[in-house]
Amino acid sequence: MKLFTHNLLTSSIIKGVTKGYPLKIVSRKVEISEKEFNPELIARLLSRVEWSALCEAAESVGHGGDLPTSVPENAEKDEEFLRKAHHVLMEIEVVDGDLVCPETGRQFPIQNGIPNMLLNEGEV
Amino acid sequence: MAAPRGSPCGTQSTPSAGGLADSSLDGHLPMAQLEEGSYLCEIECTVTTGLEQIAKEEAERLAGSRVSAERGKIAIQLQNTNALKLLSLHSVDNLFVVVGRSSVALSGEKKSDLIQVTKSFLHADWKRAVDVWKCFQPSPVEHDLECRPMDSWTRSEMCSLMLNTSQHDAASDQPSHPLNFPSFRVSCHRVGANHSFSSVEAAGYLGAAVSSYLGWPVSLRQYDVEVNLNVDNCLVCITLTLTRASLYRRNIVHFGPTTLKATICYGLLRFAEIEDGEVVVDPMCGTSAIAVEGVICFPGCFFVTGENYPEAIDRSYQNMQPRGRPADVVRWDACHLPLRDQSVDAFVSDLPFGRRVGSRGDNRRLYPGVLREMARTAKCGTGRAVLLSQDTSAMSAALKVTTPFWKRTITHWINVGGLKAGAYLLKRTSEPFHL
Repeated sequence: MKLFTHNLLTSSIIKGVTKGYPLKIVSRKVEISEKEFNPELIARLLSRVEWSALCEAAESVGHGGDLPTSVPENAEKDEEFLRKAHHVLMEIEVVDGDLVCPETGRQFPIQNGIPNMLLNEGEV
Repeated sequence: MAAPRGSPCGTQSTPSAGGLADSSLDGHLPMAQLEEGSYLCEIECTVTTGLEQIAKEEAERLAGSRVSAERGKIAIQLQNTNALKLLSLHSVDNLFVVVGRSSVALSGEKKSDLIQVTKSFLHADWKRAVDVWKCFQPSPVEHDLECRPMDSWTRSEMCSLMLNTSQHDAASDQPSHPLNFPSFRVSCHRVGANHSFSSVEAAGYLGAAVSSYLGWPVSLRQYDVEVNLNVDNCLVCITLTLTRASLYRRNIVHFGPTTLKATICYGLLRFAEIEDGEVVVDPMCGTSAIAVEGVICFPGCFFVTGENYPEAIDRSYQNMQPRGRPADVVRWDACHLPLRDQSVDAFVSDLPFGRRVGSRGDNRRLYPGVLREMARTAKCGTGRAVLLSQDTSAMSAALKVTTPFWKRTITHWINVGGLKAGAYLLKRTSEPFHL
């Protein structure tokens, strides 16, 4: 699971949960691998990213150091910034671990990089 | 090109050398633009019914020349040296080089009609068609193509020729032939109710003529060249098959019971008019066939695909390797999407038809649930969904209950494995989601 995807995921679908975002990450295995840098893609995806949630996520997997606390002005032209964003959004994969609902503590396991967000009977 | 389509039967058959210097071609690709030593050829591509317009647009962009489309196929005129480029088309199933097209006069008498159908093609430029065919072979082909000089054949000569040479068999007792001639077989595809001959007979006659005229040996199983005789009432077209394996099997390694052809996946993604930087989701992805095609053809987007069924998840995982692409697989229930509100630009999905997988009863619960969740997570005003389904009543019912949020625009009817399925294009209205 890439951190971009994590940024979209929420547990607010659970009955009664109002603050299901962002999910906490408990990682047991993280893989970093170089991916082709596409500055236009990153620039456009930025508008869909909740930046503070991304920083929190990056921090929790041990790669938050480099990120500014907010998206700078003219980010789409700032190549250095885009590279940092690219690294965090695309190059970090949580292969094994859990996503945790911030409100209930309910765990959603991640296996082979695939989070299991299926709900139980009572949660629907 | 030859006699225009739709010309009345009963005109004299006018043979055409497949796509050569013909006045009708000069209009849209002036001879001056052709490179030295090259020539125009015509490539026909089969297309899933319903995707012809998409295929035409893709081919026009790629080939930069005029493309004509009719049901189930498109035809592209282009310089022979560019023909190989067409292998990168994502919307076509198979490629064929046209040897010649003709309109024939059919009298209703079998022997005479068979001769008419076959005779006109002996004048066609087989050499150029075979040259194009050679380019598509995986290993270099050293076949020479020697044709006996073409004089005018009398009817009785043709008859005796056909009778004497119609007994060719596969493999073992071949008449001796120079090793550098390709072996071939003829497949005939016939449309029309009133032909005096059957497809098998027509294939046999053309086969005999090709064998005599070109000297190629016939081989029904281990053939090099597949010659196609396409007869549509009185319009005849001969092509050579260029693609041994259909192009639509290109991406997927791990198939499930309902995996969509890559060409249909491409068509659905095109219908969605996806732009760079968009988040595209398939909420019921099966083996992720759509996302696999998506990451290749739309590299500027991020794809998230989801499934609840464990075996499908496994196959998705395999198909989405290597993980270098901007995409992820999530295990989820499509009626409870774990996605933030308004986080998705486009949904592209192949909904269960209720035949091989699930049931019509299931669909009546599933479709409204999925449409609601998609309405919540799609961007108001700009979001859209392209949903493929054969279950028209479940779809209509689900659209009724989600009317404030989804506006139905066009529906493209596509042939999926023999079933007519609708690709419904939905636009997300600007109405904020509420229960």
